[in-house]
Amino acid sequence: MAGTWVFVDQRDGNIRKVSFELLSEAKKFGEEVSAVVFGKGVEGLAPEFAKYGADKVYVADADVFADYNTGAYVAQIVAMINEYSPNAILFGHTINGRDMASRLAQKLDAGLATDAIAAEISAGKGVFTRAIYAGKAIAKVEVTGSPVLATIRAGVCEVVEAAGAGEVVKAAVAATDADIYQVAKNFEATVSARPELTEAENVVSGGRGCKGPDGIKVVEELADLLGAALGGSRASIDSGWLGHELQVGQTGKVVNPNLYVACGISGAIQHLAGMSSSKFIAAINTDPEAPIFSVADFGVVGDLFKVVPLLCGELKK
Amino acid sequence: MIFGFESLEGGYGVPMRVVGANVPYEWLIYLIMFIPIGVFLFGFYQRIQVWRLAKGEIHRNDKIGERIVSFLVNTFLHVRVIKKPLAGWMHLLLFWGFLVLFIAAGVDAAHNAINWPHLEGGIYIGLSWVVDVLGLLALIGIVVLAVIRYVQKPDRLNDTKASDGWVILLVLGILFTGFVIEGARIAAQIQLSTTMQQIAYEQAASPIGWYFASMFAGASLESILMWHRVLWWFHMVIAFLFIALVPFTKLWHIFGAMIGYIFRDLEPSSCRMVENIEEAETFGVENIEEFAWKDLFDLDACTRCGRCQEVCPAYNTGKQLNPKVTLIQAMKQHLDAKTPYLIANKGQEEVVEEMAMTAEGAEVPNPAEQSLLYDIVTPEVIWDCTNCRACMEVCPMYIEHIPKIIDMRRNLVMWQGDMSSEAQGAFTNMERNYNPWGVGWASRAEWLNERNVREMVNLLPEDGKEFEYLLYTGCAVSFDDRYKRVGEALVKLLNQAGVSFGYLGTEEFCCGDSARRLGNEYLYQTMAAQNIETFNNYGVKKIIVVCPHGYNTLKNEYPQMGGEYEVYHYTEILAKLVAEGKLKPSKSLGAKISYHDSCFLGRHNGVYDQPRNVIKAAGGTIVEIEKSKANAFCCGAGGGRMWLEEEAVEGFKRINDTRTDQLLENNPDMIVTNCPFCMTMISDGVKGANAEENTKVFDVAEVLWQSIE
Repeated sequence: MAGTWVFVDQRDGNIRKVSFELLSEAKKFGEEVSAVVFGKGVEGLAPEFAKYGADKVYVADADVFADYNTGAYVAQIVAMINEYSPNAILFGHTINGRDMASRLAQKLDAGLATDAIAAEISAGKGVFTRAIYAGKAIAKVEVTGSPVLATIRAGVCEVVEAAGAGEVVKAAVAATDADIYQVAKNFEATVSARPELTEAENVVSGGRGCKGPDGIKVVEELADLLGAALGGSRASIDSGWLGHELQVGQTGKVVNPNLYVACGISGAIQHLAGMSSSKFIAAINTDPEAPIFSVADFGVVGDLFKVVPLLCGELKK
Repeated sequence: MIFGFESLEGGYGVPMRVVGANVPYEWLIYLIMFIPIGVFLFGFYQRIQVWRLAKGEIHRNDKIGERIVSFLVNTFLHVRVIKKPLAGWMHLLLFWGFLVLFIAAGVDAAHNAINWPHLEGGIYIGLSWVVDVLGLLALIGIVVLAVIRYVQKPDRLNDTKASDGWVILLVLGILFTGFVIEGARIAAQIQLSTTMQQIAYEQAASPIGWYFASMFAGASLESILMWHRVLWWFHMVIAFLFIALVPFTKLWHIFGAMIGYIFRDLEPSSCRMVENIEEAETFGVENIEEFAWKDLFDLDACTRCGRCQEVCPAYNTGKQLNPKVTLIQAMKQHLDAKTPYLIANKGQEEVVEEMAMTAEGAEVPNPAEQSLLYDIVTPEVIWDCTNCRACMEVCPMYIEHIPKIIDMRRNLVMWQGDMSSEAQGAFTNMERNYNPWGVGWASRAEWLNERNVREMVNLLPEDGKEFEYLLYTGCAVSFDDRYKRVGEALVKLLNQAGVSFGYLGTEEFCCGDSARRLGNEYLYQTMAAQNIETFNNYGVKKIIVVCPHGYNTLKNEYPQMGGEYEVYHYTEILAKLVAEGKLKPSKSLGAKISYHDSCFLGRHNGVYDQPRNVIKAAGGTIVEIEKSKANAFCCGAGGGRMWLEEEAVEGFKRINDTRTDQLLENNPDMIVTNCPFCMTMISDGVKGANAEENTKVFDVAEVLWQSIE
């Protein structure tokens, strides 16, 4: 048996932080830890994983893996599992991780714990902690069968640097173009110097109260001073002041940063649904009756055009 | 046989219709008529074969009495068709004229063949007059209908095809040649009569024919008789053509309608139940033959009148969904194309494969391999629907659009796993926290303290006192800060009126409406079963529901799972309390009000007057807008669309903004709604229209409380 595998979530060589979190977590089990990375020209990434304790780095490098796709990735990992027989495979609870783990579990008829917040793996047994009832209770689930599969929520495990051997094992490429059912023809990233909305530690959002692009600029300045991601309520997205990808709420992104600053957002339920789990919420609004104040930890009743520049002035000092 | 209109024995002394005269070999029609009748029966049989391909289950053999009444009033009185007055009344004239002329022609034919029934004297004159006048009305009907289609060109008829024109010409031809023939006969009879006196009764019996007879003034008897003979055969040929074409053209709607009126859905508005979902091997409809027979029947019945298109909120805001074109007709064409494969498939698989092989060379895609959900209807269309029921409300054929949409959503969600991340999020929230917003379930009763009404409420899990009504508030009162105020107003009103009610607090679950209408039947049934169990544990008999979605679900859908209760919307209760004098408004609001009928209280359940009575009692002046009551325009949040993003289409506004503009038309002081989803959508619309200063959005309960407090 070959210990625990951590499947690396990367795009164009940019590794998601959750992959390092999982390596650090897996290291705790005292068994061999391996990073598994698929892609095109990704062999050079191996030393990155050694820094976080990877004993081995399995690399599958081929054109067919250039972009994430369910068919080829699953076909490849199934072949590798047959060859190397890992005890357990951990995925980040990310879009790709969720997609791949569920398909893999189906293929192998193996057990899968999803969205776990902690893991204990020993001797081919995996016990995972999952939050249920919106975090009101904790359930421990044991995954039977082999290998043990799980997706782990991002941001719950600590990243610990630990030197590992990082021995590179080149896996035979088992997937072909025939395994690809869908091809992403074009990928357009929205270029922004700011952090990604769902991963950011701080988020500053502007709503209808911004009244126009000028108001958004005021809010943007605050975001940049805080190193925060920029978001918006539907009103500011609709009016075209912000791009659609920045919408926070029921029908947009759900965020839970450490700090959420709502500027000129009244906080209708559809917006609250996307941000009320933020750890600290600050709100600036002219209407003292605005529902945003019912979820805010700190509120300012006032015009954002006055309050935000004052705040920016203080931050600059 | 007489080969002319020579006077009968005894002259024209006795008024009666001369039949069968002047046309050699006229008896041939008694043989020829079996051709169109045979073709008609064959076509009819073929349609039945197609409906029998349907695998879905549906039961429409109950309530015989209601079905007969539905057939009679819809067929002979056109009760739904005339809801569009001009086209409707013209169609009614055409229907009666055609029907009566058809019967009259049959009577003539019978008289000619076996001399029965024998109509003469006053009876002949009277009946002939009726037929003649109805014939004229039918002629007027078809001409006006043609003018509507080709001159007025309303948008609803935007897919006029050549066949529509041919059908109009056919009907027009039959009616017009009928009158010309009658005119020729009368003209000939006049020439053959010795005195005008002898034939004068025809002017009374056939006033229109008499007028047409003047066309032949001055013509020779011989040419009149020649015209009569030629036109008689022509008339018979096109009339027989009409009969033969019925099952193969839009003319099928004559029978499609009549059969549909018998087998239409008579249940209260509800989604179709999936029985034994635990054992189900497939979910919803992936292939057209998986629909129920009534669904396939509906596709045949559609005449493309476009009334559904005209009222559809999705179509009117530029979406892909057009109930006529991209839903029903798209499926109808697919059904027709796929029928040969399906019929072959009943025998053996290989035949289909063979046919598919032959079809491969052709440029048209092989219908057996086209996907109903992805190629024919498309997911965009399936998700565009707000379940507002406007299409089903106006459809003169009682086509059931929503169940078809839901069946396809069920397959997308439960089988393909293909849904938007927003829908997925809403499902997860309902699964984990029993409300679509995903707020922690344990805080479900906290609004009582936030709004300071805890003392007024018999919270069943804690207080456990006796109660008459269960107050089922639904998720919005519990979690939406704006709607908590509505909950507060309602609790205060019920309290003041001395209504005994209990509330479940954290034991209340989401009703499941959004899950069900987004196609997640499994999740819906889980929620419903849990709620029903809780209701039964507390011995609930009567329920007051706040949200119209919950109202519809508890009232019309829980009985499918054994949950039978007396269910009221709170506006029904408030109206009753006001009428009984238990709630006495003390001050008048004096406000100008636009009232918005929510789809699930209005069209789905027909509650229009009670909320209006409450508003009036509170001293509000309702200024009705054009699209109200059964014609109300959706806010855009029904059918689970509350949880999905609506992208505005270039050149159109969103559904909620479109509706808000209608509501703001008269610059009201208030817009009053009865639904939390409508409240969210319209409040957003009012803010977007910068009308917040002048127009406030309130709920019916708040308005009444303002007038009492």
